[in-house]
Amino acid sequence: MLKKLTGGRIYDPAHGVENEVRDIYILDGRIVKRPDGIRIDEEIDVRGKVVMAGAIDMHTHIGGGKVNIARTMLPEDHAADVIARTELMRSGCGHAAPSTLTAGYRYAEMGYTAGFEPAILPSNARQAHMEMHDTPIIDKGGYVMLGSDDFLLRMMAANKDQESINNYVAWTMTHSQAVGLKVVNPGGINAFKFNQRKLDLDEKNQFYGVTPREILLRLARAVNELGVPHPLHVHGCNLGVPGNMDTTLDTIQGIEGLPMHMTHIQFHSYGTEGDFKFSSGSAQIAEAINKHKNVTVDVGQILFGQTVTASGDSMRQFAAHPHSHPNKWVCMDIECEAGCGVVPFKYKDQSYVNALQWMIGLETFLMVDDPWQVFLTTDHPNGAPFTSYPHLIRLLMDKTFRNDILSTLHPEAQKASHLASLEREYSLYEIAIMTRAGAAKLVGLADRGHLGIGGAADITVYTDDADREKMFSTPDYVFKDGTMVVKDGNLIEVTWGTTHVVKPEYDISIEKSLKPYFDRYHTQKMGNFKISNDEIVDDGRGSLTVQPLHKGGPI
Amino acid sequence: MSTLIFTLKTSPVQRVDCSPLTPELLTDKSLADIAAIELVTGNSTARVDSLFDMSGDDTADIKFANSTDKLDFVGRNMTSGKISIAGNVGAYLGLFLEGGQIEVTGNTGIYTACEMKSGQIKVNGNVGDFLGGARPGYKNGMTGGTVIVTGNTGARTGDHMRRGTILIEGNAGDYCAARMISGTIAVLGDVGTHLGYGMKRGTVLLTQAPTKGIPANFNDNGPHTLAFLALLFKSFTKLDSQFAKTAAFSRVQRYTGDLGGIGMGEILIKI
Repeated sequence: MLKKLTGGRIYDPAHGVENEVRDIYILDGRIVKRPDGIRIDEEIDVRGKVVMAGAIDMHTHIGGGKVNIARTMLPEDHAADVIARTELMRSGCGHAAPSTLTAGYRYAEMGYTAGFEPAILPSNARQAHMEMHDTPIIDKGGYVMLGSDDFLLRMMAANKDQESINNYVAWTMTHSQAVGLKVVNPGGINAFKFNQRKLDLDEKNQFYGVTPREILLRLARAVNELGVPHPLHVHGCNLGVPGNMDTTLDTIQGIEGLPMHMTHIQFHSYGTEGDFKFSSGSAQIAEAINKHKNVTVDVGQILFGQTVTASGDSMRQFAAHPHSHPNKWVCMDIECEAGCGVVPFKYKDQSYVNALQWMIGLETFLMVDDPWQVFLTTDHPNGAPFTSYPHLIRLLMDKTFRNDILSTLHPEAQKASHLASLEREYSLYEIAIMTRAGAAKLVGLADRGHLGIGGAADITVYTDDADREKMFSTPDYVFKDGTMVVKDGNLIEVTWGTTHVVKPEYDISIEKSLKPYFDRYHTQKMGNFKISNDEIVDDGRGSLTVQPLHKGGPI
Repeated sequence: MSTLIFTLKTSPVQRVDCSPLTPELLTDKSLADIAAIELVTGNSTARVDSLFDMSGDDTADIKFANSTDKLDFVGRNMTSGKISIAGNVGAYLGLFLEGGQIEVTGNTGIYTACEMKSGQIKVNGNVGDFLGGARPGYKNGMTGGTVIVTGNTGARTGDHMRRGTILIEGNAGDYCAARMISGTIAVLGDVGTHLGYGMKRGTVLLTQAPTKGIPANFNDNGPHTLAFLALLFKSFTKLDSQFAKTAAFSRVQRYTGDLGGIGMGEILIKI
C-alpha cells in the first residue's frame, strides 16, 4: 500500500535537509522514491506542517529489574495516575514509573518511535527484554552493563590481554541481546560490596586493585575494536557529589581520544564554590565537550516534581537514600554483576540544590555548541518522567519562557547561575538533530532517525506552533513503520516495534572460562543465561533488527 | 427531609464500589440523578437503582439497609454528614474519611478507617484486619479521628497509625499496633501475639495484662502514675462507648518498645 505525505516541511538533519517542502512516499513500512505505475492508495495532506523522523530516546529506563522495583515500591505513583482500558488500549497506571504498555502508548503519543533501556544487567537481561517486549509501538533495545562484574575485574586483576576482554564483551553483548555497552560507576558497585563507600577515578578497588580509569579504558577500547557503533555508554564516578566536575573532566581527558558517551552529564557537573558549597560546573564541562569531538553527552535534565530515581549505581543511591521522598528506598546487590538502588525523589523549585541542578542541565544544553554531541534526556525517570520532554523542548526553544520560570526559582541559585544571560534558543533543526538524527547515529541505527530513501517510515508530523510544548506534546500524525499510529495527538492503532541489537564477533573459547564461572558463582547455568533470538521474536509480536557494525580492529 | 435509604435488593455476586454514595457527592442531586449513578462492580458497572431500592431525600443522612460485606469503600473521602449501615459492610469503610460520622450495626471488612483523617466511625460488631491502617505500600495510616469497635478486631490493628484514637471494647487480634507511628489504641479485652511489633511511638492502653504476654522487645519500666490518663478518660466520657463508663485509672505498669526500632512506643496496663 502506497502512502503519500504531501507538501510537508521536511527537517532531516541526517541529510542536511532543513525546512524543505517535499513529498514523502511510504511503501511497505519504508520510505521510497516516487514509484512509477503504482497507484497512490492514501494521500495525507501535511502542507505547512513540520515533518521529522520519529524521535528516539537514547537513554530511558523503561524495563528491567530496577523499574519493576520502582513500580512495586510506589503504589502512590500508580494510584494517582490510573488509565482505564479502551477499545484500543489496555489499562495501565503510573506517572514516574508507568507500566510497560502505558509507556509505549505515551511515547508514541509524543511522536517517539524508539527508546533504549540503558542499564540492562546481563543476568536481568531476560526480564528487561520481556518488559520491553510488552512495550507497544516503539522500537527498543538495551545497553548491557559491565564494569562492576567480578569476571571482568578478575580478568583485569590477572592482567588478561585486551583481546580476551573484547571476547568477553562481545559474548555478553551477543547473548544478552544488547545494542550497546554501558558502564555504571566503573568498578564502584563492586567496591561497594567490599565496603568502600566512594571510589574516585584513580582509587583502587580494595579487593581487585583495579581503578575506574582502567576499567573505562579497557571497555571503551573493547567497544571500539569490536566495531560496535554505540560508543561506551558511561555513567561516571561520583554521581551527584559536589565537586564531581573534576572527576568528569578527568574522565574526558583519560579516555585517550576513544569514542565515549557520557550519560546524564548534569549529575556530574557540580562544583563546590559559594556559600552552599555547591555550584555549577557546566561551563567547564561544556568547554571540554566542545573541545573533545570523541565525547557525546546526554543531559539528564531535572524538572520539578515527584519522580523516582532508579539506577544501577548502588553506591551513590545508598548515599542518596536519606533524601528519599516518600521515605522508602531499596538498594541491592545483584549476582556477581552489580547492584541497583531505587530512591523516590521530589525535586523542589525552592530548594537551592534542585534549582541549581535545573539550571546546570539547561546551561549544558545551551553551551555545548554542536547539537550532534548533546542529547535530550531527563534520564527518565531519574530527572523527570519522559512525558515532560515537550516542556523541556520549550525551555530550550523559548528564552522568555525559560527566564520566566528561572525568575521564580530559589533566589540564591539564580545568583549562582548565568543561565539568564544565555541567549541561545534551539531551532527546530537542532531539536531534530538531538532527538532524531544524532540519536540514531549515536545508537548505531542505520535505518532510523532520518527520512532518506530506504529508511524506516517512522515519521512524526507536527503543526508549527509558537508554544513548542503544545506542538511537541500533540503531533498531528505519527507513523511507525508506515502505519499511522497517532492522529491529532490520539493513538489510533497499536503496533509492535522491533528490538535493535548488534552481534559483534567473538572467539568461542571464552566459554571455557565462563562455564565454570557460571557453575560456581551464578544462580543460572551459562546455557540458560543466553537469550536466544527466538525468545525476542516469541509469539511473532517481537522482532530482531541486527544493526551493522563499524569497521573495528585495534587502533 | 427524611433519611436517604439505600436498601440492597439482593446480595451482589461481585463486590460493589460504593464510594460515589457520600453526602457531599450526592448534595443537590435529585433521586433520579442518584438512581442513574453507575457503580463499579466486578469488571463492569451497575446503576444504583439496579442494586438498591431507594427512599428518602436527606443526602446528609444516608442509610444502607440490608447491607452485606460486598459493599466496599462506603464513606470514602466523606467530609460531613452521617452514614449508617444496617448489616455488615465490606473493605475500606471510611477510607480517607475527613469528617462526619459512620455507624455500622454489623461487622466490617479489612482496612476499615484506612488513612482516616478525622470524624468518627462506630462499629457495633467485629472489624477485619488493618483497622486504621495504611493502604498496602503506603507509609501513613490513620491520622486523626476516633474509631469505636464494640466487638473484636482482626490482625494488625493500627498498622502505620499516625494519630487519632482506636477504642476496642472486645479483643484485638495479633500484631496490634504493629509499625504504629503514633496515636492511641485502647482495648478493654485481650490482645493477640506480637503486640506493638515494630512500634515507633504511641500508646496502647490495656485494662488487663495480655494472656499471650508482653513481647520480648518491650522493656518493663515498672509501675507509674500517669496524670494524663485521667484527662484521656475524661475525653472518653462524651463518647457512645463502654469506655465512657469505664472507671478512670492512672496507675499503670509501663512497657516501652519496640526496642528493635526507636523504642518510643508504650504499652500501659492497669494495675
